[in-house]
Amino acid sequence: MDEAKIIQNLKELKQIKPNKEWAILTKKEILGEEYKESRFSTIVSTFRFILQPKVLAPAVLTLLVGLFLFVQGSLPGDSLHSVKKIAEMGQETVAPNKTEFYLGIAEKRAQELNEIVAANQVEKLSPAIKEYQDSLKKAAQSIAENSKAPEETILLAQKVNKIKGTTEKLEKDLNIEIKEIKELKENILACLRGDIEATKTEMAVLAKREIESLRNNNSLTEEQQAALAEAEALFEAENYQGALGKIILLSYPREAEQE
Amino acid sequence: MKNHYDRFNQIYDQYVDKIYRFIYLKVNSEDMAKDLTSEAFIKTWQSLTVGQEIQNPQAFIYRVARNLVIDYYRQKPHLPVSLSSCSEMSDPSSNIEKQFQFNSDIEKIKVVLANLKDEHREAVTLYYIDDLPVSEIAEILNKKEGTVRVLVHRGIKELKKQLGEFENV
Repeated sequence: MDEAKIIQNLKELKQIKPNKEWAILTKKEILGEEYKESRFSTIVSTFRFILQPKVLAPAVLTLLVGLFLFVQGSLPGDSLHSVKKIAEMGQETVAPNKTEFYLGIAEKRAQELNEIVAANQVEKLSPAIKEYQDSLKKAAQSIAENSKAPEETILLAQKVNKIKGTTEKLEKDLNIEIKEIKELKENILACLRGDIEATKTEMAVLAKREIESLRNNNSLTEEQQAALAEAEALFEAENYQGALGKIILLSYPREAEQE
Repeated sequence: MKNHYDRFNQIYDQYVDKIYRFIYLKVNSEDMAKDLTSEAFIKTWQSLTVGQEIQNPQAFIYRVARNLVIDYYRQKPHLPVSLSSCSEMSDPSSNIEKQFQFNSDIEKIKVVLANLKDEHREAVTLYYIDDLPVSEIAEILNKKEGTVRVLVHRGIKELKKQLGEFENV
């Protein structure tokens, strides 16, 4: 055997190694309590590292965003749809306007139902219809429970009108009745009526105040007195907007003439 | 104490295989190799915990292992291994043997290596099997680098001679 072969065979002896289990066990025996404490503290320090806000927050955020984007395409009846709904619950907690949020969800459910109808996924129809009905109910409740400014009511009414159109089409396509849309319509109409009444009341109060003030004014010209009489007549007829219009003309005759 | 633990952990993981092999090739017994390896690392751990400064852990652990084998030989004389008994040399249930799966050349090398002079065997093992540089081997064996090179060279020559005799058996 030549030297090269001898050296080659010597290097093969590198395969001589102790049993791995024996090696681990021996280390444990040598270190005793130190080994147990250290394993525990390694686990604890790993958890502490992960739980640090600077590590956890971005990691969790990335995970949540990724998951949220992934489940967006899921439909009622899909296994991941529940995850999508959980994500929506999270959004709900931070939504500035709950009613607008719920109407947005109702629109989503309507869109999902339309997709299912278009794809003829019969097995998903029942859960999808149920989810849509639930979303309409929730939106209707939110409209009834939450007070809104008149301009907001008008925006919400526009959304409800759109949902109403979508629902009518779905009712026609599926040959079903979705009763929950009725409650939604009624509630938004009630809000609108309430706003109109409130506005009417405010105009009535304003008109009454102005008329009384003008009655006590002894320096009115004949023309102004005639205008006041017209304003009073309109007020009696509950045309408060008209009455206020006359009062404005009465107060600023020169500007009105120029106009 | 955590520093000692980490230090020992590092030394153990890095050198347990090498020390085991180094001792095994000297004592030719798996059980004895395990015992002496274990003892070598216990001594290392004890040195760390008493605050002993270990500048070169590799040289340290090899020296400890070497001294333990010397003590072992003092208690039990080292008997030359018969070339004809190479098949009896190892424990049949040994994992080492399963790994080799009856490679006759390797078996011969093991036997012949076991019969080398201790300083030759050490030098050859550390240089060719553990791939240590001459400077490191010199520190472990407490010899000059030139002496180490000579020992390695003579070790190979002796192996070649004994293997030649083996083939003539």
